[in-house]
Amino acid sequence: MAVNILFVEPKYVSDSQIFELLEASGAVVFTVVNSLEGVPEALEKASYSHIVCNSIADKNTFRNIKYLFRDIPVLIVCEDLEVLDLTGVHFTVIKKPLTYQSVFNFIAQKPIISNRTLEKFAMGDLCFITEMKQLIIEEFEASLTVVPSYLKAENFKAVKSNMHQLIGKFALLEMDEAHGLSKRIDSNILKNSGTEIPHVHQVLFEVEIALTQLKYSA
Amino acid sequence: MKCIIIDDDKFYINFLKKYCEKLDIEVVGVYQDSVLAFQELECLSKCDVVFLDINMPDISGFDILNNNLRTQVVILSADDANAVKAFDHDVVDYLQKPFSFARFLRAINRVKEKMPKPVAEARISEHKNKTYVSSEKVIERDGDIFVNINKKLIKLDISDVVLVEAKGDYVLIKRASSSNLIVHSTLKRMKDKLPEDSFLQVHRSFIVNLKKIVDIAESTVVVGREVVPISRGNRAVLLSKLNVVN
Repeated sequence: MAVNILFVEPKYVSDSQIFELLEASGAVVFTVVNSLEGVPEALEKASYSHIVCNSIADKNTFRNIKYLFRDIPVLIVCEDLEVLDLTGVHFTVIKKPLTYQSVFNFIAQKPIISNRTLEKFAMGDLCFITEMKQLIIEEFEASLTVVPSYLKAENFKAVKSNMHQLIGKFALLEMDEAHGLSKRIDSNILKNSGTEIPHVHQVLFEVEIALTQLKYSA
Repeated sequence: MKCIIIDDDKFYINFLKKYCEKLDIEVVGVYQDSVLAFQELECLSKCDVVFLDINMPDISGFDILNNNLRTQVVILSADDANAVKAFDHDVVDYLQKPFSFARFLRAINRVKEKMPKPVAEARISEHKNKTYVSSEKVIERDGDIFVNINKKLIKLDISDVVLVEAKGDYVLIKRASSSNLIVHSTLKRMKDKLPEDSFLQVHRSFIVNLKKIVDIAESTVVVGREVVPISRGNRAVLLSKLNVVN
């Protein structure tokens, strides 16, 4: 899943730690505008998968621009919801302060896994499906632990092996982007680790999101 | 029908077991460790079909295929990159993970078509934790060394060794008249044990038996039927050890 977040972030609020964590995930690209007034121009210049409004100082401006959000999910950080007209907006509301975890949970709401292939291959056998999901959960959890340590130790052979094993699971869960990336990493990381490391981070970010969704559905 | 599964991926072992269960196929052996499977090749050959993963650490599916696995083999792989090479080994089918039950059924039907009739009664029943080394030829001769195979010390006829190849935490010992062996050891340890006058390390991953050398090219050396890479420095050492007529 390509994650590109538009942050509406007033100047006086500093959430640089969140940005640092998001940047470290390797999968998130973000743009910051300092007020709601900057949103129309930003949306014209690029497309975004998510919008985070970390402050809505002016409810009238919000009312005037909300039609631009269309189907983009919006995370609203707000103390007083009653003042906002949220009709027609796909929104999630949280109270301050904005944290990395709240942004991650917001991103993870958008489904990136599908049970369709798994259900088809399991021929409706619910025990089979549950068992398979549990095994994937265990493997994803293990990958999130071991792959960063392999990267740190520059053990790219082990990263390759791990990515290779994930290919079949991504196909089963119809995680197309992670499937393509893991195949690419499997083929290239021993030849060109520098190019592939950001892709490994991207895959891990997807694994983290998929894990949240698998646990929810298991 | 009886099958054995060799795959380092726990998920696909379970996946395959479920499919086998639905077709009343008895899973008589499961190897998550390809090295152990390699040590028990004799045993593997006694079932009707082996489901074999290609990409495994240390010993790959091809390493197993290269050693006369005398039974039908269905390959399991996450991609189709190795399909052509696999069919060169006369495998019955190639299943790309994940695969549907219908696709699995098709593979099983192919296996059934190729099964000898009547199917031999001699079957294996206890695969796990059993060592099949009885067929290994052990010749009493001075200078033999012992290798640890699955917790048993086996005498190795040094004159039969063609080469020793490093395979991760293991070494693969290729022999001229017996099946190959896989031993948990390092190339350095093997080098220390093998007689210096007969063996030479020609590459960081290979030690070769000088008496088995067939020809030497610029960057390769043919030992028995194996082509082994050789570095320029090691080539000079090798030539100094051989009786070369200029």
